[in-house]
Amino acid sequence: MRPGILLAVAVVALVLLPFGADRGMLFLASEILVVVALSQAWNLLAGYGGLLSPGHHGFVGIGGYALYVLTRDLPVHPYMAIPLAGIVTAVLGFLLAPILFRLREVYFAVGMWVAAEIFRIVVMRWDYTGGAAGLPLAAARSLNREWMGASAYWLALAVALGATALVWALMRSNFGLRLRALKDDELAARSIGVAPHRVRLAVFVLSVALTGMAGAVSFLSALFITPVAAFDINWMVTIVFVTIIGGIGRISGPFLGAALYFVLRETLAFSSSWYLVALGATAVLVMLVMPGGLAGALDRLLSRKSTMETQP
Amino acid sequence: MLEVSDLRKSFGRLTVVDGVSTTVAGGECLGVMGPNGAGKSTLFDLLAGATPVDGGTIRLDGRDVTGLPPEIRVQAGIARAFQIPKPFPTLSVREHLVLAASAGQGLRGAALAGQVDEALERTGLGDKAGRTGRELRLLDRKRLELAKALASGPRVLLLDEISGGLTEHEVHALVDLIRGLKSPGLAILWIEHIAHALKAASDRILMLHLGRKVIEDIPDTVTRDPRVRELYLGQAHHA
Repeated sequence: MRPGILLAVAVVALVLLPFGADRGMLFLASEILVVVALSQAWNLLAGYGGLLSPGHHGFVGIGGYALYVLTRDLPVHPYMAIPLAGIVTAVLGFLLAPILFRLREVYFAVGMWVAAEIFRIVVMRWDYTGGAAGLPLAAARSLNREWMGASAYWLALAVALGATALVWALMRSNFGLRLRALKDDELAARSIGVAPHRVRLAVFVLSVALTGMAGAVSFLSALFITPVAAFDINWMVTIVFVTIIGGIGRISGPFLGAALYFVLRETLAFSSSWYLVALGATAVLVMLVMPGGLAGALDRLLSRKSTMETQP
Repeated sequence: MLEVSDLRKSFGRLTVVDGVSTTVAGGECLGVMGPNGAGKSTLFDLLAGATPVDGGTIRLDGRDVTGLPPEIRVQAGIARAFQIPKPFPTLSVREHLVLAASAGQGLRGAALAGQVDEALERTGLGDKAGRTGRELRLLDRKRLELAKALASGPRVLLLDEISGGLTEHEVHALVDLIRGLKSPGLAILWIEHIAHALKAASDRILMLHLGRKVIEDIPDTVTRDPRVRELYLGQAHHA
């Protein structure tokens, strides 16, 4: 019961944060939550589904552009456009999956990366998406300026917690069993009736949909989008760092990884070169001494503590 | 129930299954015997869809399933217990069976729980339902193989040397279990080296040698056949 209460208190505190935080802090908090959501989405595909994608930044960009194009051409409120951006990326993922899934292992990874590159090039060359110059948020007028920061934060919180709740629920469902079985032993899983393609397709579409929504939330408060920012490879670097440091295939991983990532970034912000060195060194160190990431180390610590407590 | 005709499989120049035909009706148990390398396990690979056939057809209730992938065959009702157990290390015994009943047969809710409980009870794994695949000993892993196959709601059950490593007493219990499974809606194929166990449970025995069918008849006739005695019982196997 106690962890449940703790969780509820934490969620309430997070929801009330905009009433006690200044603009800068709220912006940073939104950014952290977007990274948590993106890492949770990537973790679902890589950690639980066993599909390593280095091309998720492509879907961050598609989600962001979906928000800008939808609110420009259709009478939808920007907040309502965020779930729609998720649907757009989901459809795109669904259409690409038959091609990508013909590729296995490392070829799938190359395919994902190529897909992200193609998205960027198409968006950059296409007048409809504003070309290389990008697009302003045409619907900015309909946003309340005073509550802008808080709203963006709440949306980021909703996507981050929603992604986490979804992964939590999925892993407790029959679908989660199929996913775990496939990851353990594909032939054995197929031999009791698990259809690998359908399971992987579902997890892929969910993962890119969440990624697209997080991307849309991230570009909402910027009021402007460019192909360079939307399809920035740094999205991918951050997501992989956070997920692996935090603990791949663990639900608390993205939270712990994001915490460490932002601590490093904020304390080393004075030097971009030292910041990258510290990031790389931390990644190598954690992979060497803590294969399960921070979440794995925390698990071991807690279980050791609890066995000590139960001993007379 | 299951009709197999002229099944063929070669690996390179080596023909492992060479024109095997047989029919197993509902309620029947067909024992499959043969020395090592006779093609028994490959025959099961072909029936379960783990390996594509080079020729011949497999029909389940008249439907041609020869080209279907393994997961679809399980859903159609061809379930298999592997000779070398393949438990999922992180899944509990109960989760294995829930997965088999839901993915293999599309069950949900109370029907699913009932099927899982029945498979647990039949295989004597009830008290180990919470253990993970990684924690199981060999004997329990073998039981889990059978339980998984049962939980998927089979019409045809392929049992590949599931008695390996069992004590004499446990083999008797297994024979009773297999006899108890016999019902008009289920055809059983059982590969086994332990001749007396196979004899006790089977209605007919199919003897394979170098991928070919040597004889297929009632157990007494097969075990008395001179070719079988020479090939199999004469060898240093448990007679």
